[in-house]
Amino acid sequence: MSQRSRMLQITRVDLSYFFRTKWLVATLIGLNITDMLVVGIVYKGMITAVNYFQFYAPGVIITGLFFASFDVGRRVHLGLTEGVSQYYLSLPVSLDDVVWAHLLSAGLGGAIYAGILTVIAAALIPQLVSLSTLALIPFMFILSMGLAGIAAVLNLFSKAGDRYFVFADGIQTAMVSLSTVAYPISVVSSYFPSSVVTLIQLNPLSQGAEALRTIINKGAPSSSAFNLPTLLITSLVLLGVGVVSYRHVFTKLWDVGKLQ
Amino acid sequence: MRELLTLLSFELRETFDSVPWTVYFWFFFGFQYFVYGQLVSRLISQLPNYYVYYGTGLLIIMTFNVASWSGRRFVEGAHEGRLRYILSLPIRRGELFLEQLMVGLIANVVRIGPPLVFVLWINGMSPAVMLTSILVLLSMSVGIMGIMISLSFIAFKSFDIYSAIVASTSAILIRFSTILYPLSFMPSSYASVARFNPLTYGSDLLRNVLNIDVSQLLNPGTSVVVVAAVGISMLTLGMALVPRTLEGVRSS
Repeated sequence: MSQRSRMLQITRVDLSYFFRTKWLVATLIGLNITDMLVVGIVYKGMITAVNYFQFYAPGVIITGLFFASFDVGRRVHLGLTEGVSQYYLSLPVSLDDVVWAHLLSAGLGGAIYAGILTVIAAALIPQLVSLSTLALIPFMFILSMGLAGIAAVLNLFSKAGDRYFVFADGIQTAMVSLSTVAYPISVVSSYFPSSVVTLIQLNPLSQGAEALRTIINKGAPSSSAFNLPTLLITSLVLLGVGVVSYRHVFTKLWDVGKLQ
Repeated sequence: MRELLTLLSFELRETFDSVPWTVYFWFFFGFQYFVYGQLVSRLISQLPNYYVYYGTGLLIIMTFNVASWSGRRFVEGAHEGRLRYILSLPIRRGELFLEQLMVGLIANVVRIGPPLVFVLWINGMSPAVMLTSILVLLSMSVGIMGIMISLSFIAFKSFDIYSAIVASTSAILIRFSTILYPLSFMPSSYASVARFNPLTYGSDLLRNVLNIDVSQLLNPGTSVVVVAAVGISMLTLGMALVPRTLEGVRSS
């Protein structure tokens, strides 16, 4: 078996950990659907500036992608504390292969999860049934891998115990709040100074949500926040950070043998 | 009683050793109140002063989260083997349930107290209103924790199913309630579900106490009865159910 196929096997096993807990995945999808169908619809009646349901559904899809890709950090944390990562390192695969296996599984997990949510949303928002949505899937995959890079940084700084989960929840809260997932950039601009607005525009969650909104608006950019090269560049930068972080995590594990 | 207090002080020391979670709850409040709440309230044009409405809803969500955390902690204790040790102590099972509730209530006061005082202080509320609000939130905590701990018997069969049921219960209870929006803005099908939800009565009761003017708050008398009834019935259910389900629990 080649190095590449061993890496893909680790990817498959890691990905299956996420989808194996069927009850949990079903519940998570249910949570996102109720967000769309309850919060989105009720807020639509309270907001006149935009069609809030159509505005919010892409935000929910990208939030789902974020949470699914971020789950790789939880799996790596548990792997480090329960000895699964030590087992991976004992296999005839390189350290880089283990790193890429985790990031690939995060990318696939996020893209599959977002794909499921997009199919559900498309039943209510017909504009999402288009070739542009299909063309966006590779970008969602790269975005998902990039977001996993943030989880890798948390794995780098968290030690044994539940500190990882606190950091992860904190980062998820901050990143979703400081994005255009739930509110348009015009509203954000009226509250934050321009430097923070720029950061919110560069937030990959804003980029992903605006990409889907552009498809719903039939190609007309939903706001100045969206730009496909920016989505790619921010995702690739975060992916690079993730590769460096996981290399460091697994090198340290290789040297020390356990999470300190 | 002495055993209950000894165990309570032991568990509280352990609970507050975990400072990051307490800090996280305050961090969560800060982001939701000063960022999400501010921005969403600028979008909502149909309900005047939505920011204050949202602030009280956020306090209920935090109460719900802390109460769920208490239930989850109880279940995790079983899976990590701590519950086996506690069961070997000379304490009655009913007292053990009460002790778990008290840990949750104290954690609730520490985690929700500062944000609550802050929200009420910036809205110019009196100490009497603050005290009544704390009482309302604690009464709701008892009911929610009672539900979460009572559900723990499912976790002893499968932790995944327990997590799924708790997550979906949370989603349904929070979204189909008046925590984030008044009944008058819900489609009639959603509103009829929300009328059976105890959180609707708790949220409206808190807003009545704070004298927040919303066209369609539920009757405060009915709300008091519902919140008290849910608290007492969940307390009774937990006291009856927990002793039966705990015996022979496996720490798998």
